[in-house]
Amino acid sequence: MPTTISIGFSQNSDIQKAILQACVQVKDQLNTATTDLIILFASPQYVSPEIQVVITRTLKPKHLVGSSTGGIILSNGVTNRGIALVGINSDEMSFGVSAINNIDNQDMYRIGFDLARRATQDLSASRRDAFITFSQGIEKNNSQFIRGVREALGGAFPVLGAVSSDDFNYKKLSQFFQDQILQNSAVGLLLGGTFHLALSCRHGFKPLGKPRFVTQIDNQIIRTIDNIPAVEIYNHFLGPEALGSKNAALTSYALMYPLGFYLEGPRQYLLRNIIDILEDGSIVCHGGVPQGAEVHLMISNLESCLNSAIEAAESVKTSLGERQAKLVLIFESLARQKILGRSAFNEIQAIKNVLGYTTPIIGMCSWGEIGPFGTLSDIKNTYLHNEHILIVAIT
Amino acid sequence: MDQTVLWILGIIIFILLGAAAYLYYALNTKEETIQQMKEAHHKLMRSFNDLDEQAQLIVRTDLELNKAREEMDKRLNGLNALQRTSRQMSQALNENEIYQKITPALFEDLGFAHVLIAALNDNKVLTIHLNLGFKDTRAETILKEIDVDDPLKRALQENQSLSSINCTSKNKEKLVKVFDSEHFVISPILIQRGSIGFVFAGNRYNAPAVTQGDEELITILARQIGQSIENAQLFEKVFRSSQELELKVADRTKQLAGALQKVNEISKKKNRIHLRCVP
Repeated sequence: MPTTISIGFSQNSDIQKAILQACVQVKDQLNTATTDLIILFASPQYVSPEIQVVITRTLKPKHLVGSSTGGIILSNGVTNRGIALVGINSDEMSFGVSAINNIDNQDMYRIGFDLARRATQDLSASRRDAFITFSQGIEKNNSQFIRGVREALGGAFPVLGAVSSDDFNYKKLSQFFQDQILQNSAVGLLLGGTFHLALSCRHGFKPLGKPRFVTQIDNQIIRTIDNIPAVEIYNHFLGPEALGSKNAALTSYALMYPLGFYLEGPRQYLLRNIIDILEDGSIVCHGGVPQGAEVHLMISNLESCLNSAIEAAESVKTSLGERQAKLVLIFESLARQKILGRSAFNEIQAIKNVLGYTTPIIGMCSWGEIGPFGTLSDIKNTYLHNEHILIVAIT
Repeated sequence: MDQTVLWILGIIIFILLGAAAYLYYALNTKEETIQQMKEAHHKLMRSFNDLDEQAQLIVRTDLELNKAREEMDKRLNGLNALQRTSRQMSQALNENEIYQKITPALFEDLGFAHVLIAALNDNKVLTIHLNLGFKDTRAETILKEIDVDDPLKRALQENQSLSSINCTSKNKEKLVKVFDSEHFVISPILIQRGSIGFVFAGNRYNAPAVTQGDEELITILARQIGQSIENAQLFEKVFRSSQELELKVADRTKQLAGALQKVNEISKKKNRIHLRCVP
């Protein structure tokens, strides 16, 4: 049996009907009693235990992973409401899944290591190609998490993934694993077998203003920049908008202007969204930040966002060569959706222009994207990014 | 010997003087270099600061553009969602069906988590037709609180929408307390004879403030509900009239058929009499 991939999607307001409709669409195309792998993306309104009951009954998946998301990416655009799933049946590919629950305040290196090890134990094939994770809570110490996964799978093993998201409230984040809905968890999917993988990760932001330096950090909290409270960088650039530092608007507008930390190794800017501002003027970032790094406020616009997506798609196409992608997975920052607004549709169209109109596309908008700076050849420099688009093509 | 010593001393003094002159020259050059470097550093810093000021202007302009675009996107999305709902509502034939067409998804698209739509029933009592985000008991309490507060009741019956950005501080305070939502829009459902209810849409304290666009969208929705109710009532009236008319026509037809039958019978009798009379 060659690889068969099918995507189902529904926005029916009745959750049961919605999941059933999506399952039927997948089942119609797969036309098999069981399904090797299901990847599930659901907007927060559709996160309910019923969905896995219906999926289990209808598609009988051997492996199921997924995540809640504030935006489901499909071939015809991005939607903030609905349920989407991709079903894969294949003799060429094999899958191993794993999950670790309640990872808050645990050793992230250990979590990463155990997650990868358990997925390896579940994988039937001897060849391993990529590890994809959906998680919530790894942001604080993501470098340790990635190191842990790599310890189990190999130093230059492709580690990819997305941080679960919701409707910008940062409250209803969930991960799907087999028949369970998890919170504060990491779910892993190990892909193995004989297939080709191509990927690219881009952002399209440019640094603004004079270089400043991070002078005091505490994990993902930046205490001071140039020895003054970190929030002053936003006060300086955004003006009075930033002064009511605890309001949602700041977080909202700050999402459009992430901080960029220059990394000497890969000579790239590591982008970080800010998710909160503390009373003392410290900034809480969505992911760890390097001490002493040069920091800039970053800016982007619709055009540069679209261009970065096109660049990513073109890199993937170059990596694929003559091969046609059987499935394109996209993990894109939810914050980019704010910049793209109603043009999010154009971004998907631009990707399709490059990768082909018939290629099935599915993905999610995330609070963080795990991937390299660039393509598979830069895989050693894998980080948790913000404001990026990660395109993964499977052939 | 003395002369040799003197020569040596002379040479040493000469060397020392030379060295001193060189050191003096080197010091001067260094001072100059430091001065030049300081000036270059100063220039660089000034350029950096200028760059920063320029960046500040760019960010602020970009922020304004982003805000305008976001507001425009929000309005367009809201109008799209409203258009879909309006189309559905216009197909409804009765009041209940109209309210059923208003789905929670519409308010998600409009960005409101707390929604209450209430309208007067046949007994002129406010009843809830849609409740999102409030507990049922809380929603009932809200209606009771409005019912006993005459000034608030009157304010809600006026033709204008009230919102957290346009109403008086007194009304705002009351509405925030009653609906437990800091950011809100409340719009009357109007038909020709006046207000018959209201549409409340709001968000709790940590949400962004409502905009004029939000106010317009909720007002359009409330007007559309009123219009659809009026249309449904008119439709019902026309339907009833046509039914009454049809009944009357049927009755009249029956009467005419009866009369015709009688005429026919009389005609037959007349014919029979006529036949008997003819020799």
